[in-house]
Amino acid sequence: METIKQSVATFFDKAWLKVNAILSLEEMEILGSFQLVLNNILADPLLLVLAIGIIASIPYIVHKIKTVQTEKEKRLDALLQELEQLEENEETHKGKSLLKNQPKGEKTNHPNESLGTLNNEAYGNEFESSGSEKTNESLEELNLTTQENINDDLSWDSSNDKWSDLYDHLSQNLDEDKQVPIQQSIKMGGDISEDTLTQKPLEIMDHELSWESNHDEWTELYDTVAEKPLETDMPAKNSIEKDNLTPEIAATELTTDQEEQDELDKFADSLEAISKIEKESIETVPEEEKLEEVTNFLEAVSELEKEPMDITTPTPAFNIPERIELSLKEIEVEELIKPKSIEQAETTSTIHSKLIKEKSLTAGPLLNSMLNSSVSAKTDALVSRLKTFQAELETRFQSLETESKTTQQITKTTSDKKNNYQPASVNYKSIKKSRSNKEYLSQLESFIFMAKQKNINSD
Amino acid sequence: MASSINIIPVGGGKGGIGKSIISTNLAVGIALSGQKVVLMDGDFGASNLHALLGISHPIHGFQDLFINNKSPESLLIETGISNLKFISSAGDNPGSANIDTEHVKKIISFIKKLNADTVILDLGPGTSFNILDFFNISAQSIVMSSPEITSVMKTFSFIRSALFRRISLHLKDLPNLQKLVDHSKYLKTDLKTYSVDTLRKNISNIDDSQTKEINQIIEKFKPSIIINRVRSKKDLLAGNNMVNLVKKYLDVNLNYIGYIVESDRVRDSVEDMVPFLIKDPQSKPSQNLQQIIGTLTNTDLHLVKEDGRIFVSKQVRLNSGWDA
Repeated sequence: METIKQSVATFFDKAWLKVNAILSLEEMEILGSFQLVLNNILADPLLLVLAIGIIASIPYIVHKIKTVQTEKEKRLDALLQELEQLEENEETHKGKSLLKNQPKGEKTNHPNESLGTLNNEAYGNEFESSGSEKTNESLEELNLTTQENINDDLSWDSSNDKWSDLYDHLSQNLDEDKQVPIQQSIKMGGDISEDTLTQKPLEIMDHELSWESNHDEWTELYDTVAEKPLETDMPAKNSIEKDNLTPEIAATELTTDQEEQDELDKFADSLEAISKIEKESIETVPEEEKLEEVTNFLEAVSELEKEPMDITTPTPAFNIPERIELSLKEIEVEELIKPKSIEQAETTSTIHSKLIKEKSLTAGPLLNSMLNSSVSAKTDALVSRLKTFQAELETRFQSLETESKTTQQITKTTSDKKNNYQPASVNYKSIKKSRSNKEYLSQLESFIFMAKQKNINSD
Repeated sequence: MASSINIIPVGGGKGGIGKSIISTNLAVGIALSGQKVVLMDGDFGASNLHALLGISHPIHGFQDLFINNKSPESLLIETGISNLKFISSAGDNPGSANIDTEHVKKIISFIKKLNADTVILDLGPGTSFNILDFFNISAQSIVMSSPEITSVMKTFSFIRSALFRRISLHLKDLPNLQKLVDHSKYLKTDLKTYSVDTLRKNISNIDDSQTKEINQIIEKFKPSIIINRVRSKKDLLAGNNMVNLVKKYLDVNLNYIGYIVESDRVRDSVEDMVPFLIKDPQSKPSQNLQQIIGTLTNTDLHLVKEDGRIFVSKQVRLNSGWDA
């Protein structure tokens, strides 16, 4: 202890001598008091240890403060990045043009869009249902999230060649299938409301509504539909009611219908649940069996393509004939909101359910392998759960049908309300507040006396 | 006795400018300065002065003057403030404001017979003849105004109406001249007589002999003005502007005797039904009012409240406030 003390003392002595030699500190009177304190510290070992401890802890404290600061900055940066990403996402969603060929940022003439401003302000509060603009955004989000969920749950990586090939194959065929009812719907619409759809229907028919049609056609077609009020499209309901809609169209229609967001949320949840079940079942199957499953799946798809009418019959959940009044518009909207993702989502859900059904009925190699494994019981349970989901979906879409009518009524009343308000012609001239006392007096006089009296007074 | 009474009618063209509140506190202040004061509610048909004094169910009203032929003294109600008595017009009925000229004269004579040094007569708003006649009882009347331009306009109209009413009553036997200042009977009266200058000109054109007497009436008419609810220095200019305007168009020397600042204390006093001069004599509105009372009574009045008691300090000024 003594040696440590001596060594410390000598160290401080040396340091002090050096500093003193450089700065001649002994000559400074103020440092005399410091010297006394230092002497006391050196005399008492406890004080010396404390002083050393304090001196040693200073750099640590500084370091600690710095690290805390940097951590805070990092957190802040991360938050800012998140915020920027969110903003970017929002911008991309908002900037997305409604029409495929429409340039970004171009204002659309969607009937509900003009109401959107009212809904946001005063009228929005009057109706408890969500506003149209909000629904638009959330709809896109829903589509994205649904797609993401499906991809995640079913391990559908878009980069995967196998799945992308499958998708291409499916979408190509389904596009062809989809065009048939679209044509039918337009034909029926043309029969009923020839006057309203005289602008471009023939051209559309000529081009068979191909998605690659030029920009002008689509713009004009959109304008034709957008300009018309909702009521003018109403007769198309019945016409389409006669035709059984394919599930793809019904599904896309549902996804594009803005007022049905709540139901779509539920639908997305259901899809997610279904896809989870699928995932579980797929995960339990070995890799070789997965390939078999894919082949089965493809076979099932080809069967479905051969018999398009059969698809509609077992899925009454998608059979919503009343909701075709926005058909033309929604065809376009269908394009704009990632058609691939929607088709992918819907077709996967329907086809997978079909596939599972078929699996259980035909007892193919996949089922045999599954039965051989210990998962068979679990699969049965999952299938039964799937059925219950299907039943739930049926009931929900039935209620959705009635709700869509009420939302239509609400939209109609909102537009009626808007029409009741006419711009008032107000020619109000605010008199500038007088600044000087002289101006005030002249203004006061102008209020007190009439024009005639003013003239007499000036005379 | 009656001739020595100092009657101060408090009027104004606009309602809600604080006529009743200022009248009440003015009466309280003058009474505390040692004068015998009678406060009379002259807002016939819409009386509320008794509420400001906290007097519920007044035992008498001015109606008793006509119904029971009561003596003026019997109508006086004690207020609880020394030297201050009150005549209520509570219990008034619809139409009370439109009493005929004979009744007005009777009330005026009743006021002039009151045994008091000062009578403060709180009037209702507007420029009806009854109000103007009560306002013209005395040459030492007070016009209330607030700084807002609408109030200033109405105050000017009120002063002009009061002056023209005086002239009209003087010219009652000369209809050709009276129609220049009384537009109630002569709807076809030309509107060219809107100022004293035009009046003089028109009267001299018709009957030049009346010009002198009319000038005397105008000269005697010396109302004072109080600007109430002042919130800024600019508001104070409203009084000066009014003085200039009245001088320019009516050739009347309006006496700007003071102002009362806007304060929640005044509102609180109304809520408490206690005059703010008693409730809080050291407040800004009270100090403003004390200065006004000093101008009116030719004294330096100072009120202090300690331990709930009011202490009055009064020093007589050498220069006079009111004209004799």
